[in-house]
Amino acid sequence: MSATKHGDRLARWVHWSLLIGVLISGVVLAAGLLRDPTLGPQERSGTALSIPEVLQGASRQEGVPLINLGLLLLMATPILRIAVLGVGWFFSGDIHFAMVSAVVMLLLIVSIALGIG
Amino acid sequence: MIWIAIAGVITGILGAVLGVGGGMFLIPVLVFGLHIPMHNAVATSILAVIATSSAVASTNVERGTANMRLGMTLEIATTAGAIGGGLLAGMLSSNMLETVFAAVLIPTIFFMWRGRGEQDPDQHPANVADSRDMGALGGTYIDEPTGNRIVYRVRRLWAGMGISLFAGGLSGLLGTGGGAFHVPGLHLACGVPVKAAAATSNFMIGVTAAASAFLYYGRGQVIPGVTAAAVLGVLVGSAIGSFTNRSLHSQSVRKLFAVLLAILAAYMFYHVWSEGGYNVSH
Repeated sequence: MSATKHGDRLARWVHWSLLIGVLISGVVLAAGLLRDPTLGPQERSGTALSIPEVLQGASRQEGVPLINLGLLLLMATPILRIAVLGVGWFFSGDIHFAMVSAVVMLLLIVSIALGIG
Repeated sequence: MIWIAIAGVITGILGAVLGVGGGMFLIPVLVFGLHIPMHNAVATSILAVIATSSAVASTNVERGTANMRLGMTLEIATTAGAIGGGLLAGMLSSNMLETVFAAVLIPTIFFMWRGRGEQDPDQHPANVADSRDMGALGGTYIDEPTGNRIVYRVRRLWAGMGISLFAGGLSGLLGTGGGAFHVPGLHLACGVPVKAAAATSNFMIGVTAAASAFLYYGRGQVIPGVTAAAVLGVLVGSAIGSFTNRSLHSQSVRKLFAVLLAILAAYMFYHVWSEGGYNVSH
């Protein structure tokens, strides 16, 4: 496969990974808001739900956990994009940029560990 | 809740029409209009930036204007900067964060008023004739209005890394996209054509914002309902904005937005320094 064709295919994968991530998170966020329409500026944050709490609450279709799930999916969308590009470059033999992707992924893992780890 | 969604829609439209992230507009509206504490407003803006960046970047990647190799390389700097900015924001008071935000608005107003050079005839200083000469980080795309194939080479990567570190730091600290600095920086310092610089900056900012979003989320500074309404509003606004004709009105809208930002910056300075300003601690 030529480099151009591979590049086009990779661009399509990135396009779809971003689009699907935004659409799924948008649907989950909307579902959460519909489940709990009383949410608003009067809410005050302070404690972040853990991932198990988010998943358990979302499985019971509770509003706040559903919204948190949507927000986590939204935050994960750019990470999926890095994974798609890193894997794509690796299998096309573009090891340099696969390594660059790995470094960016490592930085994001540090951020996740600092934030919700 | 409806006002938050409306603010999100306007932010999304501005982002699509002006080609900038809407955090500069969304944050003052949330803080002054809806009395949401500064740190929570920044967290909301960061999530909105991820949504717009992901939606817009998906299109730019398909068109080929976003340079994925350059973007991924510069993301090393933007994500490091965003983590630093996000950690620093956790140490600053709301007053201090507002002051920094208002100070950053000033150069943004300048860039907004001046424009980013889309109309300049010499917007491709680094063009090379042959795609074999564009190097590992260079790129090529079809310029839609003219149909010309634009080929460019990236110069002074170190400068691009420095600009990206700064833009990432601002994004993590203030919840803005940083495009107002990043796009002219990539164009002037690295020779990337404005359209490619804007698309690449947008491509990068989702990852940059995600790097600090986890920090805000972990500190419990994301207000779920507010953020969800803002994100959904921004997505709808982006879709509406993409149907508007940028070439007809972007100059006048940009100048109007610059004036609005100047008023907001003046009000923020006044607010912080008058009678103690907000006493909301994060």
